[in-house]
Parts: sequence; C-alpha cells; structure tokens
Amino acid sequence: MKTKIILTLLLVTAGLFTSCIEVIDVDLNDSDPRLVIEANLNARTQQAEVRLTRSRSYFAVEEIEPVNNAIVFIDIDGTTTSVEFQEEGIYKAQIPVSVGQTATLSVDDGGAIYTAISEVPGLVELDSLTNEFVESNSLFEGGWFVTLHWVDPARVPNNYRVKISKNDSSYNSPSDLQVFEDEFFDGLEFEGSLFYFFEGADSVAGTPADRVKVELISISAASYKYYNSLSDIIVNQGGGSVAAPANPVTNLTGGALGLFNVFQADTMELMIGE
Amino acid sequence: MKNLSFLLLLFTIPILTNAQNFTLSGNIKDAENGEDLMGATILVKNIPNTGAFSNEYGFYSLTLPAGDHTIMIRYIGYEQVEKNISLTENQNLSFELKLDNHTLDTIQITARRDNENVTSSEMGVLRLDPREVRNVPVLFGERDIVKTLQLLPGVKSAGEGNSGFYVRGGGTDQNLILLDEAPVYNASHLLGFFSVFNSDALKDVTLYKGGMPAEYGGRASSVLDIRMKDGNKKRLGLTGGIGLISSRLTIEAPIVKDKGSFMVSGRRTYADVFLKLSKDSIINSSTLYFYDFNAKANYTINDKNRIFLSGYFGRDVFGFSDFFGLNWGNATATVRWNHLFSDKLFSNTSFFVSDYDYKFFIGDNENGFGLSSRIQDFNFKEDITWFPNSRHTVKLGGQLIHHTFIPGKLEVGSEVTFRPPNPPRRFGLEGAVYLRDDFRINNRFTVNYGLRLSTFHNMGGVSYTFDNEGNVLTETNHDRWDFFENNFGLEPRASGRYLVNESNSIKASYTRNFQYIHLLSNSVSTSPTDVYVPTTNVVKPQIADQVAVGYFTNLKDDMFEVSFEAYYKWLQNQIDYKNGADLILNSTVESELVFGKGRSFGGELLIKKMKGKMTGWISYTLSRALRTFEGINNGNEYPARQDRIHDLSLTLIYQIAKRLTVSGNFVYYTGDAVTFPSGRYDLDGFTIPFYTERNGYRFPDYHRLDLGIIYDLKERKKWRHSLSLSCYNVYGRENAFSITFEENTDFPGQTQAVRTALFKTIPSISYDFEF
Repeated sequence: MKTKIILTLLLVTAGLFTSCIEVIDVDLNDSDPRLVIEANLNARTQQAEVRLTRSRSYFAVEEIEPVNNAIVFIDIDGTTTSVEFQEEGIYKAQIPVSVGQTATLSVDDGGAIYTAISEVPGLVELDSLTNEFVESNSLFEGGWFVTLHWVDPARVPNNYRVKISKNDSSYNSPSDLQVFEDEFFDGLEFEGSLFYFFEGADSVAGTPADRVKVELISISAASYKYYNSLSDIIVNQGGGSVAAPANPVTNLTGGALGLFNVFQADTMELMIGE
Repeated sequence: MKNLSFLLLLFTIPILTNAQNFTLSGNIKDAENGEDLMGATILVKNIPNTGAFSNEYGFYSLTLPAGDHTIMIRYIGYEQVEKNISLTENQNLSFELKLDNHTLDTIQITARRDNENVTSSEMGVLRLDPREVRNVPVLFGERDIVKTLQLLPGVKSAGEGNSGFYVRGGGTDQNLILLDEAPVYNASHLLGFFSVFNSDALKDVTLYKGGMPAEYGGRASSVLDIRMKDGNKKRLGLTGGIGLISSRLTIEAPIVKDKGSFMVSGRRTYADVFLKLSKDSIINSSTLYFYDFNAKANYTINDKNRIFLSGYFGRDVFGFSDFFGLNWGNATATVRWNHLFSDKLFSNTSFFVSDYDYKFFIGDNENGFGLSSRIQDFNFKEDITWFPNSRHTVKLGGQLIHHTFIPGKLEVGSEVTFRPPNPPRRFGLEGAVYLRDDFRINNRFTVNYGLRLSTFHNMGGVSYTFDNEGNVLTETNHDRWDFFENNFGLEPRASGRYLVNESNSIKASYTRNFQYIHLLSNSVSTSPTDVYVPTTNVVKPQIADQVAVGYFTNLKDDMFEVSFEAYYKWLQNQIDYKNGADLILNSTVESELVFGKGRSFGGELLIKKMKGKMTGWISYTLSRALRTFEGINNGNEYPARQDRIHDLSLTLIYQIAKRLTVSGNFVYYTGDAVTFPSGRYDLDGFTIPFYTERNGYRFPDYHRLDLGIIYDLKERKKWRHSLSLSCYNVYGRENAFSITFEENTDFPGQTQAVRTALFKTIPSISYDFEF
C-alpha cells in the first residue's frame, strides 16, 4: 500500500518534468528450473487440487512444463490420502477435513521431498452485497460500486481474500489480488467497498446490467502472508524503485515455489441496479 | 629513560608552563557584513609554527610569551592582515577582514586557507562555502549544497536527481544532518529531488566522512554540519533569485549596528500556480509545492556574552483536490549562548528542538482515513573549549536528547466501521559526554584524539519480547519515567597528521560511531513515510568502525590540491526487514526485522585546481559496499545497492571574460546493484518473477554531462545581479531510475523489461541578485 502510493507520487512528480519509459533488453541468468506447487484444499467442498509445474527462464516463450509423475499426499491429523494424477500436472482428491484440523501436504518429485503444513480456517459467510451509484468526476468515471457486508468472528484471527468476476470473467490482474487480515476490525460488522465500477442496464443501448460475482475466501495466516508478499512483488515487479524484491513467503519447505492453500469460500452474486 | 621522559612531556598538558605568558583573544569577522569567520588562521610571524584557528563563532585564543609580536590573520578570499603588538598583559584583539577584490574576479574554491588541505590534522572532511555552489550547474537551476557534495569523492547520490546521499558505503539514514546543531530527520523535498537547505541562508557546510571529532555522534557514517548565516551586522542586505521551480529572498540587517543582527530567508516553489490555470476542477484545486523558511538573530550582550536564536521550518504539500493529500516537513529551533569564562575558556550552551512529521489522507470525512507519524527531539548541549596554550585546544562537553516517536496514528472517517488501535508512542533518552584534545606535538606531528561515551535508554511506553517466529511472548507496560534497556557505547576517535614538508603530509584516523535511531524504509529514495525506530531490547545499536589513511599534497604554490584517502569500515547490527514485512501501523515492528553486518572499503582521489581563471576538480572513488544478513542471499555476502565500484566526477568552472563564467560537470558511475528475476512461474493466473541472488545484477552505468553559463549583469551601486542558464544531462542520456519486469500486454504470457528514465535534457534559467 505504502509502496504503491510512493510510486504513484514519484511518477506523478516525474511526469511533471520529463520521464521516459522504454522496453529494453536485459541479459538475465537462467536459474535451474524449480518445482512450482500450486496446492489448494477447499475445506468446504473437501476438494483438493494440486498443480505441479516447473519454473522457466524469465523471458521464456515456450509452454509451461507440467510435472506428471510426482507422488502427492495430503495428511489430515494422521489420516493420509493420496492425491491422484489427472492430466497436465494436475492432481486431485476428495478429502474430509474440518476447522481446527491440521493439513500436511507432501510431494515427492523424483526423490526430492517437499512438504507444507497449514491450519484449516473456519468459514465466514457473506451477509449481503449492496450496490450504489456514484457520479463521475475528473478523477474517475462514475458507475455502480459494490459493497460486501459480513460479520467478522470475534477473538479469532481471520484472514480473507476477495475475488471478483463480472459476467463470468474474473478480475485477475496483479492489482486485483486483494487480501487482508482482521487486525483492525476483529469481531465487527464489516463493510468492504470494492474499487471497481460496474454498469447497470442501459435501455437505450439495449445492454443488460452487469452480473457481479463476489467470493469471500477465508484463508489461513500462512496463505495471507504468501499473498500479501506476492502482491508486493507482482504489483511493483522489482528492479529499482523499491527496495530489493524477494520471493513470497511460502509454507513449502525444500525450496519449492508456490503455496499450500487451505481455505473455505462463500460466494454471492448481484445484478447491478437491483 | 630519556626517551620516556620525552614522551611524558609530549602527552602532558602543561598547565603552568611559564608565568610570563599572556593570552591574546578576540573575534574574527567579515568587515563588510560582520559575519563571524570560522576557521581563520591566526599566525605569529616571529615564532614559526605557532598559531590558532577561529572557532565556529569566530572566537580565537592564543597564549604567547610576553613581548613584541607580529600577528598575521589569514582567511582565503580575504585580504591578509598584519598587526604588531606588544604583549604585556592578557589582551583582547578582534579583527575585521576585507574581501579580497582580486579574488572576486577569479574563483576560489572550498578551503579556508591556502594549504589547509595539507596542514590540518583533519581527514575525511569536505567543506563548502555556500557561495561557491553558485557556479556549479544543477537540475532545474536549483542550487543545492548536497548535490555539490555528491560531486566529491566518497559521497554518492541516492539516485537520479536525488538529494539523499551515501557516504563511504553507509546508508542514507546513517548521516547525521545538523542545521545550527539541530538534527534534520528528512532533509529532502519533493520525494528527494531537492534538499531542504536554501543555500542563500547558509554560511558554512562541513561534511565529515570519517575521523569526526568527539563532539559529534549519533550516526554510523557521517556528519553534515550546516551553519546558517548570522545576518549582516553593518547594513541592510538582500539576496534572492527567481528560478524555474522556485523563488527565494533573504533579508538581513543589523538590530543594533555591530552588536546584533538578524536574517530571514524564504523559498517557495510555484508549480501549483500552473495547476490553477487548468479548467479541470480536480486539477485546479490540487496542490503541489514546498517551502522553506529560515530565520536567525544574534546579539552581543557584552564582551563575554552573546546569544543566538535560529529556526527552520519547511513543508511539502501534495493534494489531489480534497480526495487525497500528503504533507510533511521539518521544524527546528536553536537557542545558543556563548560565554567567555576567561580569555582561555570559551563555552557554548545550546538548547534545541527538532520535529519531523508527515500526514497522509485519502477519501472524505465520512469514508476516508488519515495516517500521521512524528518524531520529536528536545536537546540540551554544553560545549567548553579550553585554550591552555598554543599547542593544545581541549574541548569537552555533553549532550542530552529526549526522543519521542509516534510511529503511526490512524484516523478514520465517521462512516468507517473499524477502529484500529494506534501503535504506542515510544520514548528514548540519548546522552553523551566527550573530551578531546587537538595537540600540536611538534612542527611535524599533530594529533586530534578524544573519547565519547554515549548512552541510550528506553523509557515509558510498551516493550515486547518475541519468539523465533516473531510472535509476541511478553508485553510490558512501562511508566513514563521508567528507564529500561540501557545501552552504552564507548567511542574512541583519533586522527593525526605528519607534515613531511610545507606542502606534503600524511594522515591517519580511527573512528567509532554508535547509532541508536534507525530508519526503516522500503523505498530507495528518501520517502516521507519512512518509519524511525529506536534501539530496543530487540534492535541493537548500529556500530561503525572506520580506519583511514591519506596522503595530501599541494602543488604549484597551492594552486593544485591533491589528496588520496583509503578507508575500511566495519558495520555491525545493520537492519533490514523480513520479506513481506508490514511497517506501517505495526506496534511490534521489531519482529519484522533482520540484523546483519556490513563492510565497505575504498580509495578516494581528489585533484582540485584552487586558483586562476579555470578552477574545478576531478574526483574518483574506487570502492565496495557489502552486506551480510542471515536469511538473505543464503547468508552470503552481497553488494549493497550503493556498491558503485567506480565513481568519477569532473567539475570545471572557467571565467571566460570579466562578466562571463561557464561551467560543466561530468558524472560517471557503475550502475547500482539491483535484484532482477532469474526465472518465472505461473500460479493462480499470475505471472510471478523468481529471484535467486540479492543485488546480483547491475543497472547500466550512469553518466551525464551538465553545462552552465553565468552572466553577471551590469552592477548598479551595490546591486549585483546575474543571469544563469544551465542544462542538466546535455546529451539526454536515459539513465535508469528503475527497471521493472512485467507481462507484455500485447502478447499475454510473454514478459519484458521496462526501463524508466526520469530526466532527459532539462534546460533552466534563473536570475539572482544581491544587495
């Protein structure tokens, strides 16, 4: 947040004078490919999906290389389930799991073992979605904006991620990665406004109203740390104006990239203008 | 045995040597405006190698045998004065020196006396007369003493156009910046592009890169000691200028002629005036400006007492309509009292306040929020200088600083449901006592040695202990005057000179510095939202040890000054923060930090041409700055960002005709050490860079050429005025300010490197006047 503000200010300041932005050639080293683990366990649907790939050189244009012959297990408080290979680096399983349990992921990639531990967060449900029309001004074009309402469970640390999609296409640019913790609103009725503008039905142009889908995802503290540090990296892609960037904080051991994310999600939809 | 007694003689300060000695003391001033001249040389012509220097208040004291003497006063740029005296009792003798008219035509640079470079026992010291800065071309024509210092060896700019600086491999927060003794916490405007120091209001600028005398302490790397002008004691004086970015005006005048004077100086930018011209209601109600206000007054009560009041206030204001705003600034105030206990005992008592704060808001009164943070110091300082005889100058004193840290205060709008707890205030008490002696052992050897004992105590507020994971183990509330976590530091300082002959000398120094206040910043340039933390049970004081040796020589009758210095510096308890650390509004910010060590070493060459129609200097530094942190770069040593191996600057000033001066700078340095990705992967729909080694890559090398022309317009009575044209980065080199890596929006899935260069060719014009 702070970095973003500073960067914006710097660019505004510099823009007042002169500044010059150009795509350049940079000679980067190629690190050895590393295993990338994208492991998700949805504790509400009890579905586990693990996607294994390898990192590439930074400017690589070739396809992502899936890892198809790994052995993947998830252990819930001593009960181990094998996560079976499906296709193209994807492994799936149905795993009974509930709040308060501890989930352990292990991946054996040709003898190299990677593990991760995560708590299972509780489900926090959305109460409602509301929307409100805002007039345009010269800073931004107006439109409808959507507010989420929910009650944060008191005296437990909660971590959230919000995902939004409009008419079935999800918002997925780096700045759309929104995670937060309840440090400042523990136990309160929370209203979170989204900084996105949507359009209502236009009878003149004959266009329908936007259909907005909001997912309130309850995540573990480890996932929060991961996404929060990931956001710093992908929003300000490093390299000069901010202090030295580093890899996101992961719960995976053994040097793998990625995350073991255990979560529960609640989804609501809204037709704009209703 | 004989040798031993000789040594004892050397190191004993003879208090009662000869009853037939008397003391000559007084003040050295400028004849035209009555400003105290600090660092003027007082020589006794008939006794070789005997003399004294005037101190920062223009006072000197010299003890001599009774009899007839010829006293000679020398100060560069001023006419030499000789006076025959008959010393039969303690005598008060003040001098007023006239500016040397001859030297007004040619340009003299950066020294107080012709061979100071060689004869002084100091090393690692850079001194600037703010008037000399006027000939050096700068960005937007805004003269800036800090940017001129960056052209000298061992001092590096924090980035393109930036007024932050690195000294001998240290960080930008390891510089103690003093304005009339009061520390200035954020010495930059407009996110670092300008320093807060308006050179019209300044008298003297000294930067200690090492070998700092024991009266200075509190930062690991350097001391930048800036003194404001006292104000003209003879008549009304006006100085000012109109530039592209800002205008300035300084007024000085006597309060009572020759007894007291004042100076007020202001500077303001006016970019926002142009914003008002916009038809857009958001833009024309936006603000973007900074200003500085300096004021000083002094009054000589009698021969033994003199008082000074000085203050600085400056602010930056940014705002987009009433939707978003950011403003920050420093304020300092200093009260000083000079008292002569005797003609051999000079005392200065200072009380000063420093205050730095920033405020930020977004949104309106209902749905918005505001964040503010502050650091406030109250200081008391006592310095006593004792001039026992012509071979010793002893300085002793002490200092007490009360720090208040308000790390962040969040205020939210009436409609906002959450009510964040504010991190607790923190308090610290920093103290120091010191003793040092500038000892002229014989004609060849001079040593300046001393010891400083510094202390830092936490008091009041809340303290925490943490487990290895950074989770809070215990939380203790302390009463406001409950002292805990007491830290002590013993800081020996020594520098010595061996004079080979009148124009060659060898010097060596050792310095240890403790730093008790630390800056956490996640941006490279000095940023208003930087967070300061005191030393606590978790954060240890930073310690820097530096050794340096140097060779100094003057050639061709002091026309050329050449110096070579080599240094090695060890840094302990350096601070970085953990990956993904949350610095803002974090009560337990210590748990987000990691600690390591650093070292830096290098050689600095400076060749200056001091006299003639062409003056200037070449400065070259070959150096490394390295850091080691557990958990960063696998615990291996890595280059700090400012590890610019080669750093070259060339500055030339040439007076073509009586009224016309041209000048140029050329700057070249190795690109900053930066972290670039060595791979990438895809997760959750994001393209993520993968980093291996810290600062394993380099920006392209930096270079640029600046040119300037100054034309002195025809003088009218005492009204002197000039027109300056300057051009920054003449050949438009696109030096990287940042290089970022991102997905190509035209070809999703492909990635590219994007370089941002801030300033291409920037011409500027300014008009300056002096009355």
